[in-house]
Amino acid sequence: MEKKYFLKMIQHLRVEEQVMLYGNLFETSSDEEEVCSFLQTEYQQESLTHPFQSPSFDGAAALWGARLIYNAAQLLLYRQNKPNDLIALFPDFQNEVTPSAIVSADLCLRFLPDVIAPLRLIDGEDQLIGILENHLKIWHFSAVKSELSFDALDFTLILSNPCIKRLYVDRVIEYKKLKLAFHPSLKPLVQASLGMYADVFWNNFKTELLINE
Amino acid sequence: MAKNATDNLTFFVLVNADEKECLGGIRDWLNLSVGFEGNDIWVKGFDYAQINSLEIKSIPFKSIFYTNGDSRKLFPQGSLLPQRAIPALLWTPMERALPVTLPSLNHNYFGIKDKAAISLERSETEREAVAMYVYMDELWNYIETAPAIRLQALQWVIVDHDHAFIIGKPLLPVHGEVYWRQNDFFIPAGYDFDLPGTTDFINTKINIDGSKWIVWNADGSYFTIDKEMLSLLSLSSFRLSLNSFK
Repeated sequence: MEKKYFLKMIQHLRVEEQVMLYGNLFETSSDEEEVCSFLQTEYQQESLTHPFQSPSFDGAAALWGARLIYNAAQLLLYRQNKPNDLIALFPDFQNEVTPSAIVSADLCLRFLPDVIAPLRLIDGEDQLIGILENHLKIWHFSAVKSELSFDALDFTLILSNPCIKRLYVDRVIEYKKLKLAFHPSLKPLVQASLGMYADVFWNNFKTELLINE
Repeated sequence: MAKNATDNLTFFVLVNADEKECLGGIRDWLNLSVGFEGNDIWVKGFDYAQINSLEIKSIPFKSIFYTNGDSRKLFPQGSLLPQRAIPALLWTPMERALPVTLPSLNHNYFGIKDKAAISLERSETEREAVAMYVYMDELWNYIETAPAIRLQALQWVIVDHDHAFIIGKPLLPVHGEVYWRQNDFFIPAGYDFDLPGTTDFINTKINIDGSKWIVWNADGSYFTIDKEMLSLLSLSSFRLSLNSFK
């Protein structure tokens, strides 16, 4: 009987927002198709909340994100590999990074900061943290929640698409990330979103604005 | 300059005692005096303007006389021939001669049949608007591009095919009518009840168990919204509702 650990884990993650680990299994290829169709349904549901025109679903990106979170979560508990093998477990995304890919991969990648946090608690010098953060540097739409500090984030792709631009700004406001909100590319957008109610919605932002003026 | 001849004229009014009630309209003219002569009532002291006023003209069966200067004669109005001498009477001030009696309090009067219409009128007191009545299309246009944070605190319900009602603040930057709140009532901004004391009573009448919001129109009509029908306003809530609605 097939166990379908990958599918179960992703479904559980999406529905309950919890990670269930089933043993040290990095073999994901058997149920990739099902995971992909599951993520597509999830994406369709979630696109209801997307402002403007929702980008089309990018199955490859969604699956890549799912695999990444699956492997990262497994490594939280089961660590038998040598450090050099780790890089092989987390390959870069092969296709071009597009707005569709960013939003699709975000279905699973948004949980990555929550995986990195316990990793850092267990061992702050874990090599895995660096690998995962390197990915988040490119996919920083999924990393808004975390306190990761990146020097040079590339916003050209984010700003090119009205839907993802809106989603990004909403996320910055939701998690109240001051540092990101004052990023030169985002600051006018955040200001426009809060409008005259900045003190109601996010008083710290308003205060910071006044201080910096 | 010649003296105005009418300045010296004093007018008299003679009415039958049966018409006494008709003098009620001029009772507050304090320059008048009243004398009683048998079944007749004499009123004197009118000036030219008073004698031509509506109050006097509306008294039926009266005779108007005038007297000029020192002569003791009374001339009927419009006549140059005196008709009689000024009667020698005891003149008493008007308000003393015609006293007013107030009806005593009727303890059995409950005014059961009296009715008061509910109406709204313009109000000077300013209150904060907390609800909106908007066109669906306008809301749609805004909400598709709206920052999520602006929708977070709002609740909404579809009222009819074209309109939605949104409760919460800050209000959305969408064209629509705004309302302020008073308990379970939403009153159009700028209005208040004509009889503010009746609002609690009205509420217990039309909103017995307090499960509804009552939205008033400026003309005094209203519609109700079940409190349970409200849901949080979000893009997905809006789209799903619209899909099932259309």
